[in-house]
Amino acid sequence: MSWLRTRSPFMIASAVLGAGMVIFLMLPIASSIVGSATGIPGALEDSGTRNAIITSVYCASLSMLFTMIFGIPLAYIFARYSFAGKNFIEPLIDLPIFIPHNAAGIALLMILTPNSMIGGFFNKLGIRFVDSVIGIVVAMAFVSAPFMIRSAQDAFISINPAMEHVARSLGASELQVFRHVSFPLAARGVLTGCLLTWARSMSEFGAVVILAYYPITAPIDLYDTFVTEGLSRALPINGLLIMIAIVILIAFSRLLTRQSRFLRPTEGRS
Amino acid sequence: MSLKIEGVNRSCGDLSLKDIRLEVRSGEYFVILGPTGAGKTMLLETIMGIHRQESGRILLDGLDITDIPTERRGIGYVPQQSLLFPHMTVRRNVEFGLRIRGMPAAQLRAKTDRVLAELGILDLSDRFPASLSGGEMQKVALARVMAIEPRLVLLDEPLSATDPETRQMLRDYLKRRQSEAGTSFLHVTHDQIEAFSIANRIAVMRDGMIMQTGSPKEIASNPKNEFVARFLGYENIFNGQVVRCSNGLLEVDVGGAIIKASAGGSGWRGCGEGEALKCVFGIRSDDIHITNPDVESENLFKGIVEGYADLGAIVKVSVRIDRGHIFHVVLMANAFIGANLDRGKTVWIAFNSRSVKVLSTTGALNA
Repeated sequence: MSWLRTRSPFMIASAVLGAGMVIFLMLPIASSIVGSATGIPGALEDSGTRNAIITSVYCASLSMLFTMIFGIPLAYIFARYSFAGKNFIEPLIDLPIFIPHNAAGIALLMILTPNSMIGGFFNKLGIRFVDSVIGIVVAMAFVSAPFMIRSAQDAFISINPAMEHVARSLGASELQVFRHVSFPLAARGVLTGCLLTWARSMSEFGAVVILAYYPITAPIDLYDTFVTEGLSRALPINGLLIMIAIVILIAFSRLLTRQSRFLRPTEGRS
Repeated sequence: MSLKIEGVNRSCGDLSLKDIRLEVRSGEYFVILGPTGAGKTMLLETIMGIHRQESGRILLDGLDITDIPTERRGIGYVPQQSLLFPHMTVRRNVEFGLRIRGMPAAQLRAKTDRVLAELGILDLSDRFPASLSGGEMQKVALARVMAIEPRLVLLDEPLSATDPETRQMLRDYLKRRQSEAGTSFLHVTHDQIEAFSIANRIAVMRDGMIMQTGSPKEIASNPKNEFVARFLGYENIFNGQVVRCSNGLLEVDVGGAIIKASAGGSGWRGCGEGEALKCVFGIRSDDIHITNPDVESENLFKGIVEGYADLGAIVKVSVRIDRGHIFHVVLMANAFIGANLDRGKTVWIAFNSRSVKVLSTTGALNA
């Protein structure tokens, strides 16, 4: 009660509302884990579930890699340069977040099916998107790329461009400045983008189910099990997926903390 | 390395560079002095190649560097806010340019140690910038540039964030580098004491234009216009009518007070027989003395103390003379105490005609 006496009404109201939000977010997750705890080892023994989780982890990692390779340079361009059409292109990057994900799946299907121009071209090279790992990766990358681009862009914007100019005055080329100064300083934002991209890819259902139902990913396996075998059989898979997400989140958080250590003073300023 | 700027123009928003022309000679310490917003930093960034000028040329040892990228210009640059790389230790910051050049590890370490020791920051080598004070950061920024041994260094207000002791130390270091290594420096600042204490030559800049260039002595003794005079501490600036002009001496009527000035200086255009001109002239507050009525002086006026501002080592006293004009006089603190000055006290002020600098002359022949 002494805590209440020493705090302002605004602070107390904020704390109460904030606590409500924490409960809202945590309660379903906690109840899933508690409700499925005993069944998780059994779910792990099921080869179908195991394979679906492996497929999801593998494809989400590839999706993250893909968005890093193409998204980080784009983020840097957006952060550092002005060019004709930038104001038009830049908002479009967020579009995949706004459109329903099954609509995104259909949009991808339209251009990647073997009888479309692009899909047909790749099909001749032996690359199939429909019902393939590549299709899953493309669907995951499509819906998650904005998270990578925006996180990296914000990180690059936060770096004083004058610091890059100084690096160039010391003899570094643009590529060397990016490698030794800009990217390390933006790494925290890029890592956050990686986490968001990976997590969004792992949980993607709508776009993947339309473009590449097979090989089955974890969210599709969960949906299939729920529809065909009911809640009790789906619950352990659900708990398992949530546990994996928690482990990944903790690992990334630790990485972010380590990465940002140099930004904190190690000794008092004199 | 010599730097020549020929008619450089550039505009960006409210700031612009207008027909900048100046030359930094090889081994020279050149200071650009000007208020905030004068375009000093923009000029340095243009020389660095961060911005491209709209017209004009920048020549390094006679070579036009307009199309040469920043990293290949070979110019060192110390920015105003140090801008150390926060993810690197002090040592890694100083090594940065050398690593980029592919210097072998043993040589790299020895050179870095030498530069850090010269600036007295060897003990900071393993610290990150976030743990350094402003003065320490500035030393590291300087060490980072000096490690690559540029023949021309641009310094953007490098001493502004430092305490007096560090400032003196850095000033000595820069002068030593200039004399021992023959490094040319182009240093911009708004601090005239800093500029006059270190420069071989000074350019005064305002609104993107170079107003005057010359040695510190030339500029201090002969400001070209009212702005330069005010900026250099000429606090007593008046308009008057030249009523007599003979034998190199002017008599200027300033609202009834006759002030004698020596003819000459950049603002004096000369007067012919029977010509009466208006002029603006200035007198430095430290060229005016509080004196007594018996003293012989070309300009001696009776007045009363209007007020004073105690600035520590010096005191700035305002004296209103009989004709109503206020003169600002600077006294050393002990002289002020000795003179026992107080508001309302009657005093005499004196200054010689050579201290009166004509800044501009206008007008027409007297009818």
